[in-house]
Amino acid sequence: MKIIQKKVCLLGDFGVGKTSLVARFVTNAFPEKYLTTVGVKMDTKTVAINDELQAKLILWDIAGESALNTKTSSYLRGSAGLIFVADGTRENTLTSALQLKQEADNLLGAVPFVLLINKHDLIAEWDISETVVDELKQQGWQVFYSSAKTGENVEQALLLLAQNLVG
Amino acid sequence: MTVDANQPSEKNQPHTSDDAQTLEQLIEKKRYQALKALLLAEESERLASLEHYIHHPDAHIEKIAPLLAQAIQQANLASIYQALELNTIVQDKIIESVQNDTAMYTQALYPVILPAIKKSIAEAFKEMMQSLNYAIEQGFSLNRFAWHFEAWRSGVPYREVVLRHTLSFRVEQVFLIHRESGLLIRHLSSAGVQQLRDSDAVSAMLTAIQDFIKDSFSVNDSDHLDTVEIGDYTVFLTRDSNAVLACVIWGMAPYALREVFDNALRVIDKNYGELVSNFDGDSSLLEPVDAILHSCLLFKDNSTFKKKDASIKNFAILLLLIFVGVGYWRYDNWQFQQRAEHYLQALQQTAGVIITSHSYDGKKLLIKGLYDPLTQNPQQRSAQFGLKPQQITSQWQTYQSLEPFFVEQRLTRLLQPPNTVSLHVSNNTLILAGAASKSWLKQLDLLPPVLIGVDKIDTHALKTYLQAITELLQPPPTVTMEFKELNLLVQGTASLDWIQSLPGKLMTLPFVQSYDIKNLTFSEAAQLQQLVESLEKTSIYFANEQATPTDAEQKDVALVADTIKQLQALSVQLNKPVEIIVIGQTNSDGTIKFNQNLAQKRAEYMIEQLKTHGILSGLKTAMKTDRKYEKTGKELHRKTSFKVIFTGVDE
Repeated sequence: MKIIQKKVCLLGDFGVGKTSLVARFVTNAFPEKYLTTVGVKMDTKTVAINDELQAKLILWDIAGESALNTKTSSYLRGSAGLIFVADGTRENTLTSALQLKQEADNLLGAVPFVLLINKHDLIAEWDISETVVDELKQQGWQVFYSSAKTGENVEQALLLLAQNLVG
Repeated sequence: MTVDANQPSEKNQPHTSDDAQTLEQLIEKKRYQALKALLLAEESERLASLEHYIHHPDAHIEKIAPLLAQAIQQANLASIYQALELNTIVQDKIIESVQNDTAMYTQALYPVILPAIKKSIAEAFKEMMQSLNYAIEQGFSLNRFAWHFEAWRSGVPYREVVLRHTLSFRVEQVFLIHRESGLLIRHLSSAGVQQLRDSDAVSAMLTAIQDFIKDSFSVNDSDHLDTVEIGDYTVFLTRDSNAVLACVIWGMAPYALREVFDNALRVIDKNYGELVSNFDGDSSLLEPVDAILHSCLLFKDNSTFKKKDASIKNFAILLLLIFVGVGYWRYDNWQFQQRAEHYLQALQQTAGVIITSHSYDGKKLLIKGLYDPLTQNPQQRSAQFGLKPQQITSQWQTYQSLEPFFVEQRLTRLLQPPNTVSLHVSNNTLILAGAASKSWLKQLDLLPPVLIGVDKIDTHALKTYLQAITELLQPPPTVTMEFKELNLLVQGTASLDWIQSLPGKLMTLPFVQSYDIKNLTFSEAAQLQQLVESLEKTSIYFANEQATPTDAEQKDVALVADTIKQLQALSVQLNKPVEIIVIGQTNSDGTIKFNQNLAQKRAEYMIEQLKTHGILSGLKTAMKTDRKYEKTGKELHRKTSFKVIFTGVDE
C-alpha cells in the first residue's frame, strides 16, 4: 500500500465552521487552542483512493480571516490543495472565500481545490443564491453544500480533493 | 551607397589605347563590384557586423556575459581550470593581490566573516554556558566531589572535567521535513523512544511554528528558528534550501551536534537533493535517506545519564551522608566524653591518686593531679578506657599517701617479713601476726622510732616458728622438739594417732621445710609389749590331774581374756599380727601319755573359756610337761600358760 502525503489548507472567513466541519472526519493531532495562539492547527485525514493507493491529507486548519496576511501566507506555502469554506447563512463569507481564492492563486498558482458552503442544515436562513453557485460551477469550481452538524458532503469533498491531488 | 555601373567616372575618360584598355578594365571592375554589391549586400552587412563585433568587444559585453556564464555552467569548472592551467595562476594572483592590498580584502570580507565569527563565538559560549549551568545544577550532587577528585588525581583543570562529564545526551528523534510544504519526508526514533501518534501532523505543526516564529519575531530573511528547548529536551533545527532537519535531543545537547546534523543534511542534499526538492508526498522514494538520518541518532552515555530526579537522589544521599557524618562526629565526641568521664571516675576511686583539676579542650582532656608511685601511673591507665595518648594532656606529680594500703606497702618493703607473717596497719597501728624466725623477730627491736603512718607496733600475735609449731602440734610431754634451719626434730614417745597426724599438720606450716621423727616411738607399741609380757607371765593353775581350774583361778581367766583382747586390738592397730599359743602344762607325775592328754585338755579348756569371753580367733594350743621344777613345787606346773608370737614380717 502506497501512501502519498499532501498538504491541504482550509481557508475561510471567521466563524464559517471550518474546524467543526472537519472535526468529525479527521485525526485531531492538536487541540483548538493552537488556532488562537499560533493561528493554525493540524489534522490528518487518510483517504483510500484505490486498493493500492492512499492519500494522507495534512490539513492545515488556518484561523479564520477574510484575507490573507503575512502569517497565513506563510502557512499556505507548499500547499498542494485547498479547501475553501463559506457560511451559507452569510453571503459575505462567500465573497471572502472568493477573495481568498484569488489571493491563494496569486501565491500558489492553480492548485486543486473545493468549495464547501457550510451550515446547509440551516436552510431557512440561507443567504446564498443558487445563481452565484451555478456561475462558480460553470467556471469549473467543485462546490459542495455541507453541514458540520449532519456531516453532509464532507467525506465526499475530501475524497474528491484527494483524488484530484493524487489521482 | 549604390553605384551605377553605366555612368563612367571622370577618372575613366579614354585618351590612348592603353588608357582605353585600362579604362575597360576599370569599368569591368566597377561592374563586378556593383554586381557584388547587389548580390552580396546582405552578407556584406553581416560580415561588417561581425567585424565590428570582433574589433569592438566592449560594445557586446552584455550579450557575451550570459553566454559565458552558461558555458561555464555547462562545462566542468574544475576541468576548465585544469585545461587552462589556471589553478596556480589564480592562487598566485590571489596571494599577490591580498599581499598588495590587504585592507581591500579585509573590507570586502568583513561583512561575511564577522557574522560567521560572531556566530561561532556565540555557539562556543552557549556550549560552555550550558555545561556550566548543568554543573551548577549538579552542584550538590555527589558528582561534584567525584569530579573534584578526578581533577585532583589526573591534574586536569576542574572545569574541563566538568565539561567532559556533563555533556550527556541522546538524539531521540529525527525529522526530515520538506521545507516548502512541511510534509514529513522521513522520521526516525531511537530504540525505546515512545512513538509519536502522528508524526506527519507534528512535522506540519513544527513547520507552522517555525513560520510563526519567523514571521512574528524575525527581522532578517536569513534568520530562522534554530533551537527549541523544553524541559530536558532540545530540538535542533538545521535547514538547506529543500529540507529542514529537526532533531529532538534529550539531555545536554552539545552545539557540536549541529555540525553532525548540518553534515547529514549536506550528504542528503548531495545524494538525494533532486528527490527532496521534488518531493510530492511519497516518502517511500526517500527511504534510503534513513541510513544517513540514522547516523544522527547519537548518544553519549556518561555515568550521569540518568533521569532528572537523579540529582535529587544524589542530594538526598549527600544530606544523608552529612547527617551520618555529623551524627558520627557527635557520637564520636559523646563517646570520647564518656570514656574520659569513666577514666576520671576510675582515677578518683583509685587510692593514691588525687585529681586537682580537669577540663576539656574540644576533643582533648586536660588533667592535673598527684599520684603515689606505689600505684600505677594514671597516664598509663588511659589506654584501658580507649583513650588515645593525643586525646589527653596531663600533668602528674608524685606524693606519699598515708592511706593504710600504701603505709603497709612501704613497711613491707622495709621489714621484708616472711610469708608466715601478716602485716597490716589499722588506726595508725602496725599489726604484725604469724610466725617468724628468731633472727627476724630480733630485727624488729632495731626499727627506727618513727615510721610514716604508724604510731605504734602491735606484735603480740607474733611468735617464733617453734612456738607456732608447738601450738599447732601440741605434743605430749613425752615428746621434745627442736626447730633449726627450717628443720624440725621430734623425739620421744607419742601415741600412734599423734604421730600419724604429724605429716598432715606440718604441711600446713610453710616454714617447715623438713622434719625428722626417727627417734619418735609409738606409745601403743610399748603397751603391746607390756601386755605381751604381762600375758606371758600369767598362768592359770589346775588341781592335780584336773582339766578345769580351781574356782579361785576362774577369775584370772577373765583377766587373761581381757589382756588378750587388748593385745589383739593393739596388734591390729599397730599392724603387728600376733598368735597366742595356749600351753597346757602338767608336772611329771603320771604317764607321758596321760600327761599329754591332760595338757591337751587343759589347753582346750582354756581356749573354750576364752571363747566364752569373746575371743574367737588367734589362739593355738600347745602341750608341755615340765620336769625341771618338780622338786620346787609340782603344783606350780599344773597350769596353762601363754606365749605370744608375732607372725608378721619383722621390720
